[in-house]
Amino acid sequence: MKQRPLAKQLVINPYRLFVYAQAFRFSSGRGRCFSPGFSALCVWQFLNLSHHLVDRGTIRWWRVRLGKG
Amino acid sequence: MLDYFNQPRMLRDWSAVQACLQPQIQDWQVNTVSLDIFDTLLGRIDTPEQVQRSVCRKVAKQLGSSFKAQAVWQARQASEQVLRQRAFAQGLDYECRFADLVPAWVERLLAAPNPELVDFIIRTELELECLALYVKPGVLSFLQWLSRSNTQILAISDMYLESTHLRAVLEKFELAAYFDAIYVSADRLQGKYSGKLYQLIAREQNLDKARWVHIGDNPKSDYQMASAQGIQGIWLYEKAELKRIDQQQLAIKMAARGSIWSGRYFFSMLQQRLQVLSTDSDDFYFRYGRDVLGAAFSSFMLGLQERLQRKPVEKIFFVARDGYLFQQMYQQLQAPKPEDEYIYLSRRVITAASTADGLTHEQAQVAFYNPKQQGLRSICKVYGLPEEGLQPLAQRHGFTDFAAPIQDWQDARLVAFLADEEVQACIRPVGAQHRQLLERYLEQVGFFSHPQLALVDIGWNGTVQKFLKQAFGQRSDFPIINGYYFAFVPKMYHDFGTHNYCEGIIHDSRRDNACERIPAEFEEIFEQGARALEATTIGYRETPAGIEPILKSSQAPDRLAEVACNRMVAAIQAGVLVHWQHFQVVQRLTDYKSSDLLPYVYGLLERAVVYPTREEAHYLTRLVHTEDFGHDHVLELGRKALSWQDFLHPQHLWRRVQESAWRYALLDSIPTSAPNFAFRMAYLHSVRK
Repeated sequence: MKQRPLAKQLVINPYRLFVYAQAFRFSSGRGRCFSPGFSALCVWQFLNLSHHLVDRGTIRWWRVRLGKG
Repeated sequence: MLDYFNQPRMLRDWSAVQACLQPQIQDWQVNTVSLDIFDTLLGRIDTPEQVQRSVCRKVAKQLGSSFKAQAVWQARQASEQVLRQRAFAQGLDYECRFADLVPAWVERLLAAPNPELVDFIIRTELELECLALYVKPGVLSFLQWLSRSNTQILAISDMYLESTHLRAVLEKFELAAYFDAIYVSADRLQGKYSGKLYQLIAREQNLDKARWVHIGDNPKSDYQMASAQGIQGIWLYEKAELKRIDQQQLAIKMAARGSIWSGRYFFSMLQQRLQVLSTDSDDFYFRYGRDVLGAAFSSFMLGLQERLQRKPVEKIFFVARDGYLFQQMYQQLQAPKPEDEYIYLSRRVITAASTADGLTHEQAQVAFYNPKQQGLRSICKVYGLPEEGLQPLAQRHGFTDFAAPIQDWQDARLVAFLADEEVQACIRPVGAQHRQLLERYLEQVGFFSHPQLALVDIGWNGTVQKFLKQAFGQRSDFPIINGYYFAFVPKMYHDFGTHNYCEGIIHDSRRDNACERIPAEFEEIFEQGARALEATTIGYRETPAGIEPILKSSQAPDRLAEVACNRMVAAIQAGVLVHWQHFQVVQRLTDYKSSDLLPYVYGLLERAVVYPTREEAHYLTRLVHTEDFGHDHVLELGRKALSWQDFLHPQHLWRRVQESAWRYALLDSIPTSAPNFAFRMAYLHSVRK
């Protein structure tokens, strides 16, 4: 049974925050305090992508199906 | 090799498990069902490692500054490894018992036994474990069904906590009564993953393995090892849950980088708690309080707690009306904490009392900060002065229209009017009366009975604090005041006098950080979200029971508009309180400070204020805003969205933008956030602050 995601607005995609912070970068240039940082964003993207590509759930499922545990 | 038609039992949820078991139980093919506990019956909002690290932080805090949390963690790891290796050397599984681990760990840390610390650690770990756990959806109805089917139900776990601890955990979640027995690897140092725990249970309970089903989330220990023992293993394969755990691990990794990442991790945990422990609501205002304002107000309360620990006070006064919600939140905190009181003050009653020695030019200017100011009439309203007495005197100084706005604050007529001794003689007795009643009210609530106290309010200029000092600062028992504001923007005054400290926790314009300025971009929503439902205080009266506040008439036009919005405000506050309840739990688990959360909270607020959804713009602009400076004006937050015609008349457009309380909502009819971004950039350029 799939539940409707609740309080979605509490967790913002870091890309969005990065874009929002650019308004400060291109104007006053101060206080980019909610920018996730470009390098951190790249690391996040890499890890997120690897989680999607190497889906542990699916791998487990196949291992069990193949009888390898 | 795969025998495709002889598929292993992989079931995706509890209703599938029930459907699978039902015929077997009815046909007496199954008489025992065992269930794994962690990640099967109980889900986690935080990983076991993070819970253990949290315990280590609390142990380090308990032991004092010479112990670092990392060193406490390493000592724990080392002690655990020794115990596990010892068990393995004895031919048992690589397991350890919490009851053995804690004394060994404490002895390693302190080089001596310490039963009190052992007790503290066990209590703390169990408490935090319970905070991190929740009963997964579908579990309760499954267990209820199973218990009605006359089946023996066992709980089996590979865990370092012993069965007595696990029973306490299951009791906490009201699950213990469903189980006939609880088996844990820590008790006999034999686990499911080696198959030994299954053998032991079968012997002790004299079970027929062919009629025993075991269900768990681990494909190896719950499915394969059970099957290898001749038990019917069922692997609970919840794909969404596995994905969530992956995302949780990713959030933990990123949180180590600080910046927004720690806040994002914190609020993702909070979201998970909300998801599993609360029910959704169709009420937009409740959801807005829970998902948007809740984060900001809870971070403010955390910052307040930190400051109260650093600078202890004897009493905290929550200032009417916008301190109301903060007091509600404060009262949910656990003792010990300073005494608190809701104090009926408003800018109106404070400023009225400040005229006991006459009205200065600086004081008169305060009345002109309102965009709808009406010159001398505004002065009378703000300071509670009699218009009828002052009108003839004003005419003498050239004021033909008493309600005409005064744009030039250095207006020669105004200067002469205020310098007129007759004018001041008319003002002073009224001010003295206001002041006397206010002073008696303050004495009654114990304002002068404590040498150090805190005032908590939403913000913005610190008018109440400034005028309290000005009016009563000469008293020898006047306390040292620490004013804590959600946002502090001292545009009107800069000198608050000695021992009169002010700080904005979420936003303080003196920090000169453009990014944290976001509450000032739409201050009305924060004021509305925090205010009490009652009317503002306009004065005091003497009664046999003492001095009591006089609240604004319920027939005043602004009050009528407020009452119409009270339902929405109450719903917002209910949402904020739900958020705060979960916020405290997650904070206890993570030990984050407000400074760890604020970068992300600024991002959340930037999203909410500058890039509102259409739904947010639609509902929030239904609210009206009033102020307590003596006027009856109502500021409507709603403005008709901009159309293309507005863009053809730039001057008109600029005026609309300037007059709007929430300028970013003007763009809500445009189906992309790009204009908001461009507008935000232009605005940041223009204000430069």
